[in-house]
Order: sequence, then C-alpha cells, then structure tokens
Amino acid sequence: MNDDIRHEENNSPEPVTGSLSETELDMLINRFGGDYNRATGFVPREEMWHEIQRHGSRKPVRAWPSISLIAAAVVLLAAGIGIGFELHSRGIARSTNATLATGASHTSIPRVASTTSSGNIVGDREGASPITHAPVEPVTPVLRPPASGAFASSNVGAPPSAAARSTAYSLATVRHFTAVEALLTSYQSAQHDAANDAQLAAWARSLLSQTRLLLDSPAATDPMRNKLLQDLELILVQMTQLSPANTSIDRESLDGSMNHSAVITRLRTAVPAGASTTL
Amino acid sequence: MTAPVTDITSERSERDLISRAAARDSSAQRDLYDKHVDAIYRIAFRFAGDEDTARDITQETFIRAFDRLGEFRHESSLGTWLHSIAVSMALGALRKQAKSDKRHVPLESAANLGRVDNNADVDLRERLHAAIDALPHGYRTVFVMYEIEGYSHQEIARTLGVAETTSKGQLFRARAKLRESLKHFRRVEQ
Repeated sequence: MNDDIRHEENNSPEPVTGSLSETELDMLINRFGGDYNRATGFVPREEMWHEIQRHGSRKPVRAWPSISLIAAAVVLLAAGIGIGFELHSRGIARSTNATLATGASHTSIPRVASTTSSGNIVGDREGASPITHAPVEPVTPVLRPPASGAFASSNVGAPPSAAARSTAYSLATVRHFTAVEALLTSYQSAQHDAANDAQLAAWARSLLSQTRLLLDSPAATDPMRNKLLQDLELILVQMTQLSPANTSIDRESLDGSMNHSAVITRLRTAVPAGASTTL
Repeated sequence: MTAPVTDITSERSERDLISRAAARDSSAQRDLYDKHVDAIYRIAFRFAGDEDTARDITQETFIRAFDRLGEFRHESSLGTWLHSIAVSMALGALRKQAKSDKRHVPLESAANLGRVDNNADVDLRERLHAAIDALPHGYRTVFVMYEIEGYSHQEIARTLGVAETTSKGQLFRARAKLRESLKHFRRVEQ
C-alpha cells in the first residue's frame, strides 16, 4: 500500500465529504501520472514508414505555386502598398492620436472619468436578486482632460504626452480594479442560486472584456499589475461560466482560483485608499 | 568549446535535412523520421491509449509534416513542430473515436472509482488512470499535456490554438474533477 495515500474504507465510521487535496493529487500524479498510457512496447517503425512511403508516392510534387496564387499575391501586395501610401499622405497617424485625445471613438486606450454613476449589475431585474449592488460598475469611461496639469498646455490636435497617458492608464486600471473587487465581494456575499449566477456571469463578462483590453494596453507593462490582470482574467472567465447547470465543483474551482491567487487582497492593495470614491 | 560547434553543425545538418526532405528526398525524410518517430509515437500513444490508434496518428503526423515541410519556418525546433501536429492529429482521432468511445467512462462512474476494497499501489495507479480517462476530452488533453508531458501553458495554447487562460482554466477544472473522483483516497496523517 502507498505510504502516504490510503484508501478510505467503505465501512469508515465517518462519511467522506471533502475531495482530495491539491497536495495529495500532486503526489498521485507524481507517482503514477507518468505511467498513464505509457508506450511500453516496441515502436513499429518499419510498418509505419512503409505506410508513409505508400502515401507519399501517391502525391505529385509541385515545384511552383500555381499561377493564380502568384497573381493573387501580386494583387494583394500592390493593394497593400497603395493603401500604405494613401494613409501616409493623409497623415492618418496624426488624426488617430487626435481622436484618442478627445475620446471620441472606440479604442483600447483606457479613458478616465465615468459617464454613469449607477451601480446596477448588467441584466439586473427588479427584485430578482439579493446581491449587494456595489457603487462601482463596469464603466465606459471618457477621457476628460483637466483644466490644468498634464494636459493643460496641450491642444486637442496634439497627442497626449507620455506622462499624461501613463496617468490615464493608471486611473483607468485602478477604476477597473475597484469594479472587479466589487464583483468579487458580491460573489462572496451572494446566495448561490440561478438568478444570482446569471447576473454575476453577465457582470463578469463585461469586466472580462475590459480586463483583456487593459492586458493589451501599456497598463499591463508593470509586472505586478500584469500578473494581477492575468489572474483576474482567469477568475472572470470562470465566473462567466457560472450557471445553474454547473456543479459545485465549478464553484470550488472558482473559489480555489480566488483563494489561491489571494486576488481580493491584492486588489485592495493595488487600489489606493479612497480611490473608489474619488474616481 | 566543442559543444557550440557541435550544436551549430547539428543545427545546420538538420536544416539541410529539412530542406532536402521538403524537396521529397526520401533518404532525408527517413533520417528525420528515424530521429523523431519514437517521441511522436510516445505522445500519440499517451493520447490514444492503444497501439493501433497511436500508429495511425504517428503515420498521419509524418505524412502531414512531409507535405507541409516547405512551410516550416524554423521559428521553433522541428521536434516542437512535429509534436503540435501530432497533438492536433490525436485530438482529431479522439474526436472521431468519441462517438463510439469504448474507453470513455462517464464522470458519474468515475466518482465511484475510489470506492473499492483493499488495494495496493497497482489499484491506486489504475484508478488514477481511469479517472484521467473519464475526464472530458478538452480537460484530459490539457491535463496530459501539462501534468504528464510537461508542456507550458504557452505551448499548450499555441498548439491547441486557444488562449493561455483557457488552458489554465481547463487544467484547474480537470484537477478539480480528479480530486472529486478520487476523494476516497485520502492522506492518512501519521
């Protein structure tokens, strides 16, 4: 019998309730995982090679790509060069920066200062949920340059300075962290039923997209912030899959992810005191 | 200082082999085959669990690889490239097999796997393996690749064409299901 892991007797006086611990599972995997479907016999090299050869001899060798492929490549290349010249001559890059500065279009650059103030969960129905609605929601913030400070001397057409951009990203990230913290707190305090799960999943979905945008932005250049965003992404993905059909195992997985990464504590550390009320 | 020279020489000779094999040089193809077939067969067997399927997967892997060798850009090693083809072929084969899957054990049955008589290491091993077999295909693939074959999440994501987060999530769920189905094996505190 294994020294460390024993089989629980059927007639055990106490019923088995908990699942195997992570450490116990790791021990099992370390001891026996390597044997799983291990190829022990000889490798039938010659038989397989014969089959491969048989198949290979049926296929004709094509030394050159077809004329149509070459023609398509030439057309594509010409179109690409043409578009490049056109964009260059119009100075698209400059106008893109201007658009970014005014916050007028969809962009992955985070924008600061919320346009809304309600804290309702996405898809909330009146009276349907006992979830504590947090004062912060997934936001669609808009960059609003202050009257003085980093943006004061810049005109609308000029791109924001690196410092101003960095500040904007930081503010957007803190705001996002606050929103996620609110969601996770609600998850922990909510009753686990179908209605709540659906609302939490919808809420998590909207925050997940924001998390991914931030992960792809310069906001994720800071290693600590990047790690936190990655952990949040995993947790939010798990939360979006909450549904009445799911078992307690899914919830355990989610709880495990949250506990394992101590994500709430890290979120609270990442958000400066009072930030949720001032942003 | 001989090691780097050897490395460069072997890299050059592999590049040379690859370009000759891409031009359908049969002896070069055979050399590449001999060099990689054991590893490919091993991973095919790991996913398939039986010789016939493992053999089919290995053959298909090399047939496809030789067909597409011209597209190989040396961004990874040839071994890595072949492994990803093998995994993708294995998944295709398992998907086909799933319809009439003899090996697949419903998860509900897996929950009872730990609930048996006196047993030794052999029993424990078999029950772990049966519990792995009982995992849904997606979970099992990621579990085997990460825990048994030692792939990183990044490699799994690249091979399977999914996000790294997906790989991590699948692994977490696979482990949770294994912990649940093997819950009757518990640590005995000394």
